[in-house]
Amino acid sequence: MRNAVKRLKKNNNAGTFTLQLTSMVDMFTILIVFLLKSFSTSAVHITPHDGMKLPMSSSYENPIEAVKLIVAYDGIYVEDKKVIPLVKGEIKEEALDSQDSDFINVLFKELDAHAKKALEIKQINTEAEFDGKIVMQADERLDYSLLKKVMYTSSMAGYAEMKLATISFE
Amino acid sequence: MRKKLKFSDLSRQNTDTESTFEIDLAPMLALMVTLIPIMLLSTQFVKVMVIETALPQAVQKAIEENKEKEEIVSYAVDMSKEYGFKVNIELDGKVQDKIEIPTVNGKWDYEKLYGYLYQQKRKTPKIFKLDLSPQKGVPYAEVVKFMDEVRRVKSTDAKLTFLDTDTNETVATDLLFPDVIFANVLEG
Repeated sequence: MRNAVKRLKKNNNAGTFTLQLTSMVDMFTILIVFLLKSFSTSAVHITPHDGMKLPMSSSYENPIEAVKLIVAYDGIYVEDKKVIPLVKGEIKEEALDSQDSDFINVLFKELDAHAKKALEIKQINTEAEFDGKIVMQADERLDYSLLKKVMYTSSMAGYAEMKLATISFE
Repeated sequence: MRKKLKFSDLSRQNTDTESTFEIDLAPMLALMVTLIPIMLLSTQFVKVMVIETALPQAVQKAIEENKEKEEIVSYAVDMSKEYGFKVNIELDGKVQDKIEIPTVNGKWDYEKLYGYLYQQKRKTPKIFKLDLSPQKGVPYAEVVKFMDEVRRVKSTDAKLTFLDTDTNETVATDLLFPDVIFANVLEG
């Protein structure tokens, strides 16, 4: 055993060696080219909500900075805050207004609070604008009737300019 | 006087300079090791876009004119699982043309719809707005697909042309109906 250690030490001290980095540099070059190709220049990034299946579209417009409304299979979220739970993509009747079956009370309150906040900012900062823009991420499996309710409520809260988030074909 | 070099001299000289060398790749590797994590963090592997339209100025102006004026021609499409598409074209509030495009094997016939809308649009190239009324049971994915189908003229078809009233020049556009409005949202 002692002899083996001695032999190993001897071999290690035998001479210096250089790493062959060429193939590694080749690999990194390919990787960088690929990453540069998929590099995004857009200022706003939208990360799809967990478990959400966004619809595919040929639209090529970059997302904008606006209030984020998510209509997932498990609930409706405003700026990542769960507002209403959904059961398999369906809304419970209690969440709807008794007079207007398309009006979602809790969602309206939440969006209205955001709109009021934006208007308050506008009063202090004249450069800030409230243009009623909202980006909606909705699951492709959802029924239009639910989205109609969401769109109706958000337009009532002052968010009439809706942008639909989709996944690009590219 | 300069001595004439012999072949043997030349070959000796050649072997003297022909020493092998290796480029020091370590700094390049260090750079790449730094660059790759930065790019990995800022790269979007799933590109999320929004449905909106970027329009050429003349076309944009035509759309604005179209919005300002009272709508002379209006396109309305009703979309349902039961009957497919019901297209209604109105001129000054009177029905000018209408068509029903039924579903084929339970699927919406987008090809026929596009063909019909394209032919109608050639008659009214300055109209870019379309009212869509999807009914209960229509999945959101189909609504987005509809918007994709009617947004632009297909590459196999000729572009649409109209006269720009300011410059008196003919403007060509591949936009069909980029302005899709959910007409039934406020119906309640």
